[in-house]
Amino acid sequence: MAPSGLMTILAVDDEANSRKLLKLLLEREGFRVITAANGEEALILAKVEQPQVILLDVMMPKLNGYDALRRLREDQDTAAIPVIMVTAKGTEHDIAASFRLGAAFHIEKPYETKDLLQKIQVALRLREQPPQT
Amino acid sequence: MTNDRVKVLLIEDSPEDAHVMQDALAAASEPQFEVTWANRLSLGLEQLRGGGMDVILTDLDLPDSRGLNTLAAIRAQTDRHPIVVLTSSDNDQLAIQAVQQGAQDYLVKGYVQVYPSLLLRAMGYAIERNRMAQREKELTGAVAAAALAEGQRAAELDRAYQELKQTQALLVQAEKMAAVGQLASGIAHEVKNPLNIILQSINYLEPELKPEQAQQQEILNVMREAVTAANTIIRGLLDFSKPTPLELKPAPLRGVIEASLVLVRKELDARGIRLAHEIPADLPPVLLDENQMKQVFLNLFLNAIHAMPQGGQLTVRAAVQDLAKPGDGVGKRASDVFRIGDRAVACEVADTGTGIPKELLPKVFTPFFTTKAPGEGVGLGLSITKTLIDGHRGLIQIASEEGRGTTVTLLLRLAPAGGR
Ligand SMILES: Nc1ncnc2c1ncn2[C@@H]1O[C@H](COP(=O)(O)OP(=O)(O)OP(=O)(O)O)[C@@H](O)[C@H]1O
Ligand SMILES: [Mg+2]
Repeated sequence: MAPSGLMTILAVDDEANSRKLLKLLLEREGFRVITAANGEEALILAKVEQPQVILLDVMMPKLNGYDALRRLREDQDTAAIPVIMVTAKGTEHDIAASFRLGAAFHIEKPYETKDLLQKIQVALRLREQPPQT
Repeated sequence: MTNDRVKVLLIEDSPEDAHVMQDALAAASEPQFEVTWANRLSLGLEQLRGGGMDVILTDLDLPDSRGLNTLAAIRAQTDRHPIVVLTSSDNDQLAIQAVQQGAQDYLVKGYVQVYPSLLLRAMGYAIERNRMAQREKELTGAVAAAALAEGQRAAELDRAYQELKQTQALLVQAEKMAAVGQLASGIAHEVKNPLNIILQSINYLEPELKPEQAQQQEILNVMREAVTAANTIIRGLLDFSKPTPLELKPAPLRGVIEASLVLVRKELDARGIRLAHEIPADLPPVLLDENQMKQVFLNLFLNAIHAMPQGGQLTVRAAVQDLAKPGDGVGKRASDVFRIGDRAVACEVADTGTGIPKELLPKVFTPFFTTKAPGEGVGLGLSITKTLIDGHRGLIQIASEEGRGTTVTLLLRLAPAGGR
């Protein structure tokens, strides 16, 4: 858990400018933001930092977003962290893949920040009261 | 073909999964599917021997057969039917092997539940791909047979060979279109990321503005509009790479043509191009998708205008035509779009422009073939136009003489008489 009860968000995107903006935007909303540039880094940070929500890009070097999502789900330490896919991919196929692998939401780039914030809020609540399945 | 129901043999042991497939297929209207369900391989093969099936949709793991053996057993009995394989997991390796060993396509069951349209699309592709492959096989067979019967069969041989080449050309063209689609979606993703960075930057700056900074707000609005506009184009490119559902309705051709002319009126006037518009008011309605057909005419008009920088005449003509003798795409062959005796509307778009050199004429429908400077044309106009006309089960031909001008002729289907 982050210091002084701040909610931590892990933002994963291979594009440095994307990471920089996500950090600025989310910090302004009062979140603590940590970033990773690929799937591998994301797995390590998720395990160590235990963020409340993970934002995951799909097309990244090393380990892509879908594979990272699968691995996050397999690891007991990270399985319960809600993941929002944030990606340029937006076909039926892509969206189906996100949900099948257990993402909470799929957001297609470009998007308006308020949509993302809304989904983050819902994801945080999902974590507190996971849906019955 | 459109009225015929497609007969699907569904081999699937799980009643729940079979239901999902049946529901998804039942939702289709064009074409309609008729499903015969077998819950084990032996029963499926028996059904197949009974005949009358068009396409096979099969699970690989059944009570009496597992994995690729299932596919092999079906292929051993028929090499004529397209097969779509169902897998329960996202086992890419198995799926790839299945396709290598003669399946036309594969689907992950979980997807179908969420997106029934995936199943319909896969069935359509499988049938189409199989049809082309069969056709090529038949024709290769025809070539061999003709070679045996010497002498007087030379003419037939030649015809079969021509057809073979034509079918191959179709396959090549289809492949090229697929390549364009891939390229387009690759580029699209590369562009969507920077667009998002711009949009996020706008989102960051907006709340930082003070109320009196109305001009700055205005500039951010303009930027947001630009992002939206660019994204619309990108989405269009992605849509182009996937089949768009066609909405064929009887409609007056004249209205569609006039709607497209409105869009180029300024260019026509600017270059002093005369417009001759010869479309009879009593032309019977044609079966068409209005939006797509507007795009067709827009592409043709723009090409004509580009070919007449110093002015000239653009002529648009349409008339009912009785197809009395065989020609390109008209005749008795299975690959022909129209039968002799069909009535169609022939529509010509003719210009008096630069024309197209003979040696370039065969290339104009190729994606990305262009003689225009970067920024003026990308070479997709005619290839998209051809795809759209094919979708209408119509024909497009182009004739040109260098220095004199170019005429594009479309043959379009008349709406069935008596329809409301
Ligand atoms: N009416 C015409 N007169 C002369 N040349 C033509 C005509 N129509 C097509 N062409 C030739 O065919 C080529 C391909 O046409 P097409 O419409 O596919 O692409 P484009 O016009 O070059 O680019 P785009 O349509 O994508 O903007 C053109 O570059 C031109 O050389
Ligand atoms: Mg063009």
